[in-house]
Amino acid sequence: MGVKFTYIIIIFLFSLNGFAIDALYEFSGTKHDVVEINHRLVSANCEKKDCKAKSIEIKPAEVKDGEDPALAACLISLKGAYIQLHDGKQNEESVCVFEDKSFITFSSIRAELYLK
Amino acid sequence: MKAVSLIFILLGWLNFAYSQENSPSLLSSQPVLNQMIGNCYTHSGTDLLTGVYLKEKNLSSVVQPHPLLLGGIVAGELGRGDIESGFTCDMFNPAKENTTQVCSVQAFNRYVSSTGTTVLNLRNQVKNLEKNMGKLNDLFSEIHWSQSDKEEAIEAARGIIGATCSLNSIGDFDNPKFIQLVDDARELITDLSPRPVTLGSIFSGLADAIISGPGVFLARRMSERFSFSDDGQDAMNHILKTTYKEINSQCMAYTRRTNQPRVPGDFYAASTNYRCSQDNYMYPRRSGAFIKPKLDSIDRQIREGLPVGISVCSAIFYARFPNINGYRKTLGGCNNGGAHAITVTGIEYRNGKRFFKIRNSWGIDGCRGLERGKSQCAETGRSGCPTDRSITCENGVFYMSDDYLGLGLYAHTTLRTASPRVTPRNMYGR
Repeated sequence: MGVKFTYIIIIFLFSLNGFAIDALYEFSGTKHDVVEINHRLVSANCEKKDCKAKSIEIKPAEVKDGEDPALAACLISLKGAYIQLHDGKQNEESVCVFEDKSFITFSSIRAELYLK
Repeated sequence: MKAVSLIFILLGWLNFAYSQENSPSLLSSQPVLNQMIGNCYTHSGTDLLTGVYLKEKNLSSVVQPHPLLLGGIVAGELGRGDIESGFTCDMFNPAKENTTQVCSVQAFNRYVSSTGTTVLNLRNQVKNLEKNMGKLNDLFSEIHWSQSDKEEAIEAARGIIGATCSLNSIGDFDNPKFIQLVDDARELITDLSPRPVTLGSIFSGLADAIISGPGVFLARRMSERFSFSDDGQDAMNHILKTTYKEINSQCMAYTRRTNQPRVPGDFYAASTNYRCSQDNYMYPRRSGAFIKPKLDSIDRQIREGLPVGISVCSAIFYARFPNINGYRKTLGGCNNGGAHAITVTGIEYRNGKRFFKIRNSWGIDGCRGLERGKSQCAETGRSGCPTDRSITCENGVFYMSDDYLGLGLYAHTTLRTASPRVTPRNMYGR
């Protein structure tokens, strides 16, 4: 009983962690829902249809010391635009936006760049 | 006898327990920021200012100035031109002397958003302005302008006009310095652009060439006309500083108009008595026993309530390698991803192991990839791959163990309070 209860708690905590960010906001207040697909945090419009944010191949671009590699990749190799958003509590996160209006977080891009 | 032994054991245990005590968690109520544009040290420097303010005022949170604006103003004051990569102390020491009321992070983000542009665009335009002014300044130092020099000068002048126009959407660039700059750039384009050949222009050109040689007169004449050419770098720095100050003053006006959060007036003064020094041990590459005293020094500062700026190789945030060779080159430089300035804000013991709490400037989703990095390493079957006993992350805040942080660490700051100068007069209390 005790072991089962512990498992339930652990699963519950993991599930909380997995859904830590479910929306991001523009500084003007506009809300954008986000979902996690294939280790990427992308715009919710990718959930039911194909979109660039979930399918595009992440390629690196040249960076200088201190510069965020995700920004360089977004603008140069992915040909996207960037917007800075926040999580509703002023914690910032930037996203790379594509022509089809889908977006991917910089942290998702950065992770793929390092883990290739 | 038994009682004495017991007391000694108890004292030993108490000493051990005390040495493994967690430190206070500094800056834990400050929002996680996302720097992006190569100014990590301005974030780390601003975090040090924030930490000192919180300590001196005994507070848990404060509205921070935007590191990009503060960094731009500071770089201009120092004559460094625009913000480039640097160390945390390069930001802290000059920034504590700042007397300008700098727009807060929240206000600046909202202000930029309200103008329809982005922080990155703003930053790029400032960089364009700097690059093109620098180009012209270099050209003015030449005695002779070739045809390609003239073309480069026209291109640079166009760049100045373009950057100034773009910046006009976010600041009021109607001040005389900028108007003069744009007028000069326009005049330069007009003078250098090909014109229909007339008898008068042929005689005038011939006269120039006879007096000074071809090209020389033209370059001199351009240089004399261009407003910043006399003072060169100083004038360019002045324009860059004015650019950031102008954007900041518009942001402050927006703050007042829309009642945005403001940085306390005594934010910088709280750090006046502190001096930041940076110990850099990137070369040669060292780890283990050499790094241990560095980590202990960081630990001591944190326990005094002062955050510590550190420089690390960025790849350690992804835990993909079992040993230092994955993160550092043999001579000490960083593999894969370059260097990065961050801030240590706490010490936490986990099962007897010391962990350093690290505030990064890569956003709230910044933990993404860490678990996959660990898995990738484990899948290779190599021993010593990073686990939760090496590095963990929650909401963009990292925790790294002693040994793991040591794989990527190569510099740290020390904040010292300036001791009062001892002179014969005050030595004897006179």
